Amino acid sequence: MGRKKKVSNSLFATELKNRHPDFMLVICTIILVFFGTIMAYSAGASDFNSVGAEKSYFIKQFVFMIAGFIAMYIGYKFINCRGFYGKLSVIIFLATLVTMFMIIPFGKEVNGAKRWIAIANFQFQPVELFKIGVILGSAYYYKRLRSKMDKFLFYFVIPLAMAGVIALIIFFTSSNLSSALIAAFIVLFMGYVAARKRLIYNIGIIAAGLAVTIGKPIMGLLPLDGFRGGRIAAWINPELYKSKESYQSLNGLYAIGSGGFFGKGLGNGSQKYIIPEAQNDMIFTVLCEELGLFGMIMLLLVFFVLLYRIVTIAYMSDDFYEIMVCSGVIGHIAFQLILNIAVATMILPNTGVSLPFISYGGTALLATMAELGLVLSVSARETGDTDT
Amino acid sequence: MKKHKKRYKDRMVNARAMRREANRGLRIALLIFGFSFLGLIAYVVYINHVHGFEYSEKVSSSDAKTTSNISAQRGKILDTNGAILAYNQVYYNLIIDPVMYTNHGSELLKLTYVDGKETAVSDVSANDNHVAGQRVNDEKKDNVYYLFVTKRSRTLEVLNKVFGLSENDVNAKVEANSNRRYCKLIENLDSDVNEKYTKFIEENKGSIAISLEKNYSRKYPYSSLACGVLGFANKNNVGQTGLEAYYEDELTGVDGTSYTYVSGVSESENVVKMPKDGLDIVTTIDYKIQSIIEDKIKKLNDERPSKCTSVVAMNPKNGEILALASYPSFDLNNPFVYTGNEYSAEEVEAWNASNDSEENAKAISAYSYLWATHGIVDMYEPGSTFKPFTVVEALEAGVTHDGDTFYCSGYETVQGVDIGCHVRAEGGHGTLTLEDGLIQSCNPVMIQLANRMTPTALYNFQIMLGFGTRTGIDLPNERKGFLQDGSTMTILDAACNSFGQNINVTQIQMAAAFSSIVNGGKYYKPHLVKRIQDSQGQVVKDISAELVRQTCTEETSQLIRSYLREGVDTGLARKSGVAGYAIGGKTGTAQKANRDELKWVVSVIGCVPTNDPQLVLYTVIDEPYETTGTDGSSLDALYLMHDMYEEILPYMNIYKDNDDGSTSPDSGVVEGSVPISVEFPQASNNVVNENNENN
Repeated sequence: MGRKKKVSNSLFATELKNRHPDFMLVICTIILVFFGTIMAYSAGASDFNSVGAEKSYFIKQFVFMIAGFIAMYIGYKFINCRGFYGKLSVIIFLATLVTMFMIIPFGKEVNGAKRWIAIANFQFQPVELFKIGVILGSAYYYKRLRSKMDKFLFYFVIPLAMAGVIALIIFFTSSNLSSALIAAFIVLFMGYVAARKRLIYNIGIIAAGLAVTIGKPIMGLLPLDGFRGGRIAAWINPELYKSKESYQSLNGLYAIGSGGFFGKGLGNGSQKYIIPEAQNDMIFTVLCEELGLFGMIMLLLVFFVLLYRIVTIAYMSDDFYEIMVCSGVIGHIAFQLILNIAVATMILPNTGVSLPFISYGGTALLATMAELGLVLSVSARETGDTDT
Repeated sequence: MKKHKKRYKDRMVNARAMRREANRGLRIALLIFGFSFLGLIAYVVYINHVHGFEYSEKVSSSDAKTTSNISAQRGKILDTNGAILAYNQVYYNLIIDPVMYTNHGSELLKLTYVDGKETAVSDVSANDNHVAGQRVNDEKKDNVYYLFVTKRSRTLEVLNKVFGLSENDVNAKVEANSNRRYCKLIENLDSDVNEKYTKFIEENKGSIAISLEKNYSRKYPYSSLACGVLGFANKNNVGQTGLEAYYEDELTGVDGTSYTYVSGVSESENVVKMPKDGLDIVTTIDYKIQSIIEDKIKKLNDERPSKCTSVVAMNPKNGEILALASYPSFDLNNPFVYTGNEYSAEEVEAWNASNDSEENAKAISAYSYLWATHGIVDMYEPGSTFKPFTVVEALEAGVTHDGDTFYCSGYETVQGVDIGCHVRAEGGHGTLTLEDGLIQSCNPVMIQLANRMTPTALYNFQIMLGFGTRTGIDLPNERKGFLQDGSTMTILDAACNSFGQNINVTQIQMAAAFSSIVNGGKYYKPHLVKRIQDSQGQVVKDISAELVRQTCTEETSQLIRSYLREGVDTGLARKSGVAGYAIGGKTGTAQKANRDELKWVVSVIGCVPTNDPQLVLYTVIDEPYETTGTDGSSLDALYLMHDMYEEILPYMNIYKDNDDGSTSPDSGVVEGSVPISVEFPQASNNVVNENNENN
């Protein structure tokens, strides 16, 4: 009994195990975020609606970057991640869920989709906050029922149902298919980590892998129409729809293909002028055109190191809840990254997914950095077993 | 107890096992993600490898897209009444795209066949020799056949007909730049050529490898007017000196872009991001006053050249600079034509041409001196023009009062050093009042005043008057002068300061401080720009008078104004007076710092009318003509002041004053009044007052 250390379970705990946050993680974040603001500047040049857009894009992104760093610092310095376990997780989950529903009466329409809530001059995307709620809520579920994680009902059926409900809620409130997919994936990914039997998940992974690699040719044989169908048809036969449905994807593909190994140089790309949403969902194509394969490899390398650090931090933790939160963050960043690149390279049909840290967008950046703040909190806190 | 312990241990093991399992899951997941990344990289490599060439072609295919820059206009610089002092002139550059020109494609043109003659539906005349047409369809079905036409031939046709260039001219230029997408064929074309080109292109449609690029060059309509203030912008429209440099951010606009691309249905679409023109700045410079002053300076220096003559005219009620002029001047449109008097133009050319760094440095320093705004850059010892400040300081400190008498024996001994008066040879001024001490410019009186104050008090007064710090005028490179620090200032330093030595000032510091002591004690920050507006005249920013601090009381100010007026009416500044005007003034002749060289700086500072000053005028002549002897003379400066007053005062509608010393009844100074410009009726210039004519 003397082995048990005294552990703080309160939310606010300033005593730190390490004097510094996880350096590698912070450095990777800095690289990615600064890189993102520079890309926002480069891609912003394509906004023809306003003069000097690149400057305002840059400044906006920069401001959110600073806010993100503040959030990370607060997470690291003052917040004790495991303090969220309990009612707090549920409250945050429900609160962010309510903001999702607030889109219906108060939402603001941008580009034909109602995804924003505007308060005074400030507008944000509730779905980005909801993703944090989903991570904390699911982590609560998995820790609470951790002893039952060898039962199919608890490690797969219930998570699958939760994922489905969450996805439906996101899709209904904001008709945002990609965010619905990402949130569902986060829940299931955390289920995969928590489960003590992973057969069903492994089958799922293999099925998904097969679907991605051989799905496209098979789909080509099916008759497809309708809006969603049109989008998929455009994905199968882009050249047929090159002036409409596949205009964005195809031009993005040209951008990727024309980059070469070192690219055309930062700011020298020309496709960004004609790719819609170049600064946002399609920023990867701008990156490939301007910085080439080299830039892409560097980017993925930094992302990989970042994910690796989070895995390590989870490994060092003595608390199952914290491991689950880390898993949620990993799932969020990794899945969004892979989905974005797969869409840009036309491996998958076009859905609007942003590239974490790099795409232009304040709420997403702030939310992702806040999640990293939680991870840093795990890395810096005193260890001690609280699972028993 | 033991049982409990065992259960706890089980739970521990259980929990640890669970975490271990979760972490194993995470590691596997990381591995999967890593492989996914590799897969994605591999796929992008595949895209680049297999489709790279094809996609690059789509991106850079010369017809698919063209971007061109649309230059933004730099903002204009206006005088206080809206006269244009700097604007932009449009010119065109003829641009060729060598890659497009060389790798010209061919395209089908539809031609109609009417009455045995071919008529091009599109632009190309099939009869031209250099249009190498090749028939594709000779069937002449429905009187229509097709022709292959190369873009090169069309480009050449335009070049020949509009610009008179032959194929050889073009090829030579293109071959030298064969890998570039942008090459200037002809520069500086005027608008007529543009019209001709546009008309020709409209009549003869089709893609060509050339374009006309619109540009702006900076022009200064009055060439050398206010050259030191306006400064000039370089070829790329970036301000180099003066206001052009100081207000660079406001004046520069944001360039726009025109982007033409072929959309999916191969219709050419054009997106234009309009440029945002720079903002106009409205200066406080009055074109008329500035040109009067420059004329007079030029006239003086034509006859009696000096090293540098600098004049500032300031509105004491709000710190607006009405004119700031200096000799030698230069042509803003051709700033690299050396017009200075220090070196001959050939010398400067020779330096410029030489590669020797020392020689180049000489050329740079010569140009720097020529381009400088002397009124804010040159530092000098002001000499006697500083004395009014000493009197004000003493009055404010309460160590002297109007009517006090002093004794001048021709010199004053301070810390064992004899400091002479300018009338030492004649045995000094004898007994004289405070007023006489100022208007006769008596050094011993000033020294005695300084001795009544502590050096620290004197220093604080000087700081309050703005000496030793930059005034903050809106021009680059302002100098802050030099002031002996209060803590190290000796009585001797204080004594020298009292008559304007051992202190370095700039002209603008003097003018601003002088304005404050004659306007009732309000120190306004001197400024040159009163408004920033957009090209439609919408005000973006108003720059109003900035009251910095109170330097003296209204009573002191009133007293010093009456002293200064007496100085012009009967004292040493007589020759600057103009008959009928209530002018106040003070002269100064100071030996330059290197006393052995016997070089002088002479100056006259004045305000008018003395009952309610509307103009402060300050002339500084560096090394005036024929004053290298032991005695400097301020005559040149006095005559210059007189000549300038004579023309400026009627222009400014400043009232003539009766010479009985009384002020105009309707223009008393109201204490604490805000600066407002009062419309004065046209003053009559015919009244000549005899009393002021005698010198």
